[in-house]
Amino acid sequence: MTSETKNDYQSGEEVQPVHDGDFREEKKQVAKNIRQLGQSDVVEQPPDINIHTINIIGQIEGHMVLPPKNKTTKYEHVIPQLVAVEQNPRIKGLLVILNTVGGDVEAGLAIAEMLESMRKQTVSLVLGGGHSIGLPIALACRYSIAAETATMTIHPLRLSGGMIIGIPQTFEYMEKMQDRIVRFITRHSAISEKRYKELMFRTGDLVRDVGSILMGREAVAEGLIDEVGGLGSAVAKLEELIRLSDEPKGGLQ
Amino acid sequence: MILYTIVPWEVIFQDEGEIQPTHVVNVAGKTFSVRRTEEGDVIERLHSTDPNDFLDTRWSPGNLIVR
Repeated sequence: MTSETKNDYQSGEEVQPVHDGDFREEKKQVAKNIRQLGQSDVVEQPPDINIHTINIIGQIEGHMVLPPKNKTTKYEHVIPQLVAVEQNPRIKGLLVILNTVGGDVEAGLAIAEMLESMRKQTVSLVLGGGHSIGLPIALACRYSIAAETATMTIHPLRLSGGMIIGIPQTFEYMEKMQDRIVRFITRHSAISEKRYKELMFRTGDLVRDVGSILMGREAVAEGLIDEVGGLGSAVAKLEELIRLSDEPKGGLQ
Repeated sequence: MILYTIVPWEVIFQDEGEIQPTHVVNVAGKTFSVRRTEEGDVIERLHSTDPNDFLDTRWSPGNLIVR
C-alpha cells in the first residue's frame, strides 16, 4: 500500500511542474486579449487530456547513429517514454502514429515488444508508410488502423553494410533474424505465416525486386491491419478501449 | 547491425562525413550527450533514470542547449 501511494505522489509531482509556467503565461495572454479585443483567441488546453501520442517517423535508429540527413526516431528516447506512459496513472492510452521507412531490426522489435506488453490501451495509426520494421510496431498495438493511402512494404531481410555470405552459417543467421520478424507479425495479426511469406517473396510488385506493397484496404483484407481509417477513428477507438478497461469487472464483489 | 528498410544502404549512408565526437555535459541537473556546434550544444541523448524526463520536450534529441 505504501509503495502505491508513493508512486502516485511521485508521478503527480514530476509531471505537473513542466507545464506550470506555460499555463500561467497563457492565462495572462488570454486575459490581455479579452481586455483589448473583447475575445479570447488562445485556446486553453483542456485539463482532461488522458492520452499521449508517439510519432514513429523516418528511419528507426538503433545500434548505429545514422548520417544527419536521415530523419530518425531514436529508440533510446522512445523506450523510456513508453515507461513513463505505462507508469503515469493519469495517462490512460497511447496513440502511436507511424510514417516510417523502416530501420534497425532490433530497435524496431524492441519498441514493438514494449508496446505489445503495455497495460495501457494502445492504438496505432499508419499514415503514409509503415514499411519493413514499421509493420511489427503497428501490429504491436492493441488495435491498428491504416489510412486508405497508407502503404506497407513487405520484403525479405537483406544483407547490408559489407556483410558477405562466406559460410552457410551467415545465411542461417539471416534467416533466424527474419524469422523473428515474421513470427512477431503472425502472432499479432490474423495473417498466416505461409501467406505472409508468399507476400514477402512475390515478384512483379516491386521494380526489379521481390516483395509486396499493400495499401490500407489490402492490408485489412490480408488480416494485418484491423481497420481503414484516420485520426478520428483512431482516437474514437482509443477512447472506447479506455472506457471498456475502466468499467468495473462483472462478478461477485 | 541489420537494417530492415526500403531505403537502399547507399542512400542512407551517402553523406557520411567525419564522425563528430560527443561530449557529456550537465545542464539543469541532468546529464546529456551532446554534439558541439557553433550555436550551442545539440542534444544527442539524455541520460536519466526518471522516465518522466523523457516526456519533457525540452530534453528531446536535437534540441539546442545554448552555452
